[in-house]
Amino acid sequence: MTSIDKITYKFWSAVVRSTATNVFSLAIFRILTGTFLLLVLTINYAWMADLPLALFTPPVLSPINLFATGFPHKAWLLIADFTLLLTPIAIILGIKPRMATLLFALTRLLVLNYQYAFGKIDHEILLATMLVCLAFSGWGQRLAIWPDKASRFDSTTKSLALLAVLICFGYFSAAFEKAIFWLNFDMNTTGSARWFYNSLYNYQREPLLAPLLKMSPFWVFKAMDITGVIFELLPFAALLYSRKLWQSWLLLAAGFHLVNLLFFNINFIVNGIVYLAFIDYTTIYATVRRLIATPWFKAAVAGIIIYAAYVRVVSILTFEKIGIVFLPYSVNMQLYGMVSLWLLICTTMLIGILYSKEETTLSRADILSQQIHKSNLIDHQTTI
Amino acid sequence: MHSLKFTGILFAIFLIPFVLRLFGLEPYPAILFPSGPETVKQVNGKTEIETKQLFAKKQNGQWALVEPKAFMYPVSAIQLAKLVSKNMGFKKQKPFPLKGKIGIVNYLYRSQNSSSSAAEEAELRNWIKKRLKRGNYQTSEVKVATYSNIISTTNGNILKKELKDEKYYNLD
Repeated sequence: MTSIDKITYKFWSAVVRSTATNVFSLAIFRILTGTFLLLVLTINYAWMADLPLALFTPPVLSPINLFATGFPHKAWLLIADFTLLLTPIAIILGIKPRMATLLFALTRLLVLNYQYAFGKIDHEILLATMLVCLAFSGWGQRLAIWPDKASRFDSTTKSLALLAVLICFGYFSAAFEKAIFWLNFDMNTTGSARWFYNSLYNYQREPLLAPLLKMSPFWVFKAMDITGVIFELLPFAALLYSRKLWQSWLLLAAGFHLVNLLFFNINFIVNGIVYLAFIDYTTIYATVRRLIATPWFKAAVAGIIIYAAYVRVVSILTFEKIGIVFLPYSVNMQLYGMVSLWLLICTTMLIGILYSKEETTLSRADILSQQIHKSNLIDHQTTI
Repeated sequence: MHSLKFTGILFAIFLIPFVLRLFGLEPYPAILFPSGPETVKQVNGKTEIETKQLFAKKQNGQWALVEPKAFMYPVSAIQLAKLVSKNMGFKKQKPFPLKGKIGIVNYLYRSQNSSSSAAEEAELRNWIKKRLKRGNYQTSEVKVATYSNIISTTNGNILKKELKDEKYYNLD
């Protein structure tokens, strides 16, 4: 083993120690993810068919700039919208979850590429990244009607480790330029104030707590600059240090998004579900398995899915926006709904951290035995 | 554990888009989060922000601010800011990178740097007019006004709004 091999091995060992879980926990998380995709991520894309060709200016380096000459026909976009509706249902119920997950991720990547042809990349990459990583985690092998067969590409530890590293990369990319321009002792120059005033006066976003920030002294924005950049530069250190610190940083990230929503009305709710991947749900697996076997629970789930599907089909066909299913579509209701969702995510993460063990049996075994890991047995032999 | 080869490829997958974005050429899809490092400066308790707004004539002939949500629906209202910043979608011919000598580069920039055709402009005008009609505005003309806003940093309110530029778009 060369020294570079040793460094690589140590790096991934540390990442695995902080992130490893098992297929039982991920099966619960798969159901959570599907529910989120069905009830919260309700955006449709068929409206793009009506956009004039003059507005078709995709990012220069993107797949559709290579292959497409304009916005797609409405029929294709309707197929995409129905795919984005049906695949979450398959993910919840566990009907070929791997295929459903990949189909959702690829469809979403594609329609977002068309949406960005309008001229603005919105950086919602994390959700698709998570779905692609977890499609190969074995999350579709339990609590499923038509479970995935174990594949030689499946690895719970590797997929979560990869996802964690990609999150760290992403935050580093956000922090790098800000660190250059924001980290200084010039108390009269700030980036957060620019984001805030732009939100307020250019985008009319009307954040919930805008009045509070408007009245704040200018140095508050500078403090936000510094804490924001430090927070965005920290995840690699947290990930490599320990599981508790990594999960605490994720909680901080959820809190950071909540603050962004309250003060800037910038909502990255799609990131929230990604952070929840690193919570260990193993302790509730047996309860959930018993619960979903009961007839009343099956009826309740069927009712929720049928209602949500009905609402979304109407939305797809009429272009009416619905936001979070079960909430009326008004700006305030949706905004409070999102705040509640972030609070729920933060609470779940806090409980997860409080009950988190520093090093699971699984990760210890994984680090100690490369041989076991090579054959991926570790993912499939874990017992509760 | 992921291999050294995999780790190297992963690093390249991250690094290449990251460097490209630094040069203003952000690819998609890529593991990149929003950056936005621009700043504002406070001088004597004031700072300055530039805003662009779309105006159309009401039926009584008075110019009125176009309400972004209603105008853009079902497109996200946020996209209006992008639309007004890119000349309302009326594309003008721009020089191609590398003096237009490399075919593949010209192909990649064909949507960004070529001007709109007459048919495309007519389609765009109709698209804008349809939205104006829906909002009960006159459909013959719109204007994009660029303002310099002086903002108080003690209460966040706009102290002074100065018109810097107005651009009119004839839609007939």
